[in-house]
Amino acid sequence: MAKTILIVDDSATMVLSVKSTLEMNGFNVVTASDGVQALAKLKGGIKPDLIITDVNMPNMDGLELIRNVKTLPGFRFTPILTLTTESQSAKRDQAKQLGATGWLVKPVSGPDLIKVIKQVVPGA
Amino acid sequence: MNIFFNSKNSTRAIDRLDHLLAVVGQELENLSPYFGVMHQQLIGAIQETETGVMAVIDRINAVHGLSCGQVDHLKKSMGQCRVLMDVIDQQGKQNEKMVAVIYLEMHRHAAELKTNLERSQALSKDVKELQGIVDTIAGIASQTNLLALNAAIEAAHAGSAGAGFGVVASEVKTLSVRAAESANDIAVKINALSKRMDADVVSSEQSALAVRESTVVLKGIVQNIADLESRFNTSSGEMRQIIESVQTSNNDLVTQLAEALGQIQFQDVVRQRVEQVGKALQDLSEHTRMITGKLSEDCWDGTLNPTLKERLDQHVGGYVMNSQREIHASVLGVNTPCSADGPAIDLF
Repeated sequence: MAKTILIVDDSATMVLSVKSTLEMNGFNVVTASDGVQALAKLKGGIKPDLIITDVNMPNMDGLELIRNVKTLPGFRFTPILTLTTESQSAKRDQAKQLGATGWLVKPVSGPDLIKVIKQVVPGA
Repeated sequence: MNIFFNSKNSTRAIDRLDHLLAVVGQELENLSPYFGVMHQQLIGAIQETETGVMAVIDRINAVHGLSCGQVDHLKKSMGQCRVLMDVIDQQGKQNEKMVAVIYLEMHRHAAELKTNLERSQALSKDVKELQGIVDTIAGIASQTNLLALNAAIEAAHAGSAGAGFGVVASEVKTLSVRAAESANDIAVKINALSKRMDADVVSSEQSALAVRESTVVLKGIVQNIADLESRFNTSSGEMRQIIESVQTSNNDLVTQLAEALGQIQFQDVVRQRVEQVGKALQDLSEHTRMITGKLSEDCWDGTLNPTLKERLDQHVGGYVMNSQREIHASVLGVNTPCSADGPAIDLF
């Protein structure tokens, strides 16, 4: 059964490029344009096998989203990857402390992204 | 006079300064819409690149869709080919069984024909040999008849004493005649039988020849079917290779498209950098408005809060990429501490 991945990014081009890459490789994709929308989708019943989130976003940034997701019932062990241009090591460390699974810096090639997903999502 | 002159010069200088201040103030006021226009131009440029990049992604998706469609089409063809191969394989097996049965039957038939032919030939030979025996019997009958005639003559010479012997001679003659008739009858029947048996032998030989010819024809048909199956299997194998090759090419294509999709992410990186420049323009606009306002204040002592330098320094906090920080430090000729880039992919 195809795995479902939630992409969270305020950039429409990022969402479309990552979504296309994932769908080409057989994944189901759900998208959100910021942390608030992503949380609403999770609370609304979406149960992704992986969340890929940008860090710098309006309304609710990626770090805040990670913090919230980890406290949501049923999502404590959901792997979360950040996909960002952010290079501050402090933010990277913060993401790690909040329970993120990994930190990817844009741009990331499609094959590399798929390789990482297969590493962090069992059965992908 | 001199005092008057100096006072007049001072007034002119003050007027000139007022005029220059008014011009500078107007120019500073005009900077704000200038920056606004530039800012909007940058936003427009970002939107255009975004539209263009999304169109490219749509094209990439369309290419992928077409490629997948071709692979699906080929897979369906291969599926139909497999069904056909199974049918031909089953038919081939049935053909083999039927041919084996026909072969067996033909061999059995040929063997029977051969046995019958040999038997007919032996029988014909035996029948022909009977003709000699019949001839011997006919000869014996003829000699017996002659002997009976002589005995009757001798019995007549003996008179009444030979009367009994004459009766015997007469009976012997009768027997010899009947024996001659029977021998003749047998000879006729043997002759007719011999002819029929000769005809049977010829017929059997023709049947054996026909069976041999049928066997050759059957072998040809079997060979043709085997050749057909072989050619079909070869073609199927080639088709399978083609499909596998197309599948491999499609996988390569997906990898290449995924690479391209990854490289397209440059747009988001550029967008963030341009947006940062846009914020700087807005900041400059704000700064010029502040200076314009200050210039119109009579009590302004020349202090600015924040100063332009402070505003520039504040930008460092808004940068997200080390490359932005490095450019900032490089232009200003300062050593802004920036952490080294971590790995592009960092799994915790």
